[in-house]
Amino acid sequence: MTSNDIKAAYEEAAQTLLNEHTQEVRAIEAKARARSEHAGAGKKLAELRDRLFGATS
Amino acid sequence: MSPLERPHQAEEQHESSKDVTLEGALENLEAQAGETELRVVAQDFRTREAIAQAMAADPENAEVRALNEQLKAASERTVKDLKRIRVAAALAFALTLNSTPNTENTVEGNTQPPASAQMLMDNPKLAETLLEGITLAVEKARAQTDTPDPVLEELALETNTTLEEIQKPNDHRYGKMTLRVAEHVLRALGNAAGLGLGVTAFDILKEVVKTVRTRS
Repeated sequence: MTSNDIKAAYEEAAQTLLNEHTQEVRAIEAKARARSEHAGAGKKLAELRDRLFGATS
Repeated sequence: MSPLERPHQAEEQHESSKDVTLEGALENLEAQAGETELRVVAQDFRTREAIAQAMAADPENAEVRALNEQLKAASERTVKDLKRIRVAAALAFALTLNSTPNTENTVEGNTQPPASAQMLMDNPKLAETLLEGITLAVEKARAQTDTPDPVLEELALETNTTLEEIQKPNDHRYGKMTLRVAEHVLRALGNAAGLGLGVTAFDILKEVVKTVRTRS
């Protein structure tokens, strides 16, 4: 049990950290994309509303 | 030959460490750490872009601004944890591969400490990191056994006493990743003891402890 075991321990630990980080960051990314889509949908809805009702309002 | 190039004391006994130098092990560690951190940066970049798009679409949204802070905090934490396990691994390499007595600078009647002990003495914070990792691993191992193990008991006593001596009040927190690496270090020390090498490695720690105590 020497350098190879330490190397394996480090690799396993680093990979676990990376996986946890990926999971956390992807959740943040998903929220950001959802906000973008929501804002984009709201903008389109406003444009549609203006086109449909803008002339009468 | 520099201390980093000094071959392992019991090379014949340790086939797996044959031809491995501390310098080589640290170079590999550095390369792998660089690759891992690059992946963190790449992931963060992609997420940062998504947040920037969301901010452009809805600049006043507080939730989007909070996402930016969350990303920053997550990245800082991950980078810090990666550094901790890198330090623990580097120290483990130093202890297992470079535990020969430093005979180059031996003066009559004044034997120099082993090279890795010297390295740790010059960097007391690194010694503290290793000791805390080992302490956590020892405590975990002790909790899992009903019968006290003499080696574990000795390590627990030494490491706890040492930490109490050298640790100043601070906010250091060592995560489970450090613990995992330290567990392997501990096992390596235990196995090395069976081959007659553990005494050397353990003596290094004690040497560090002695020096740090007298310096603080």
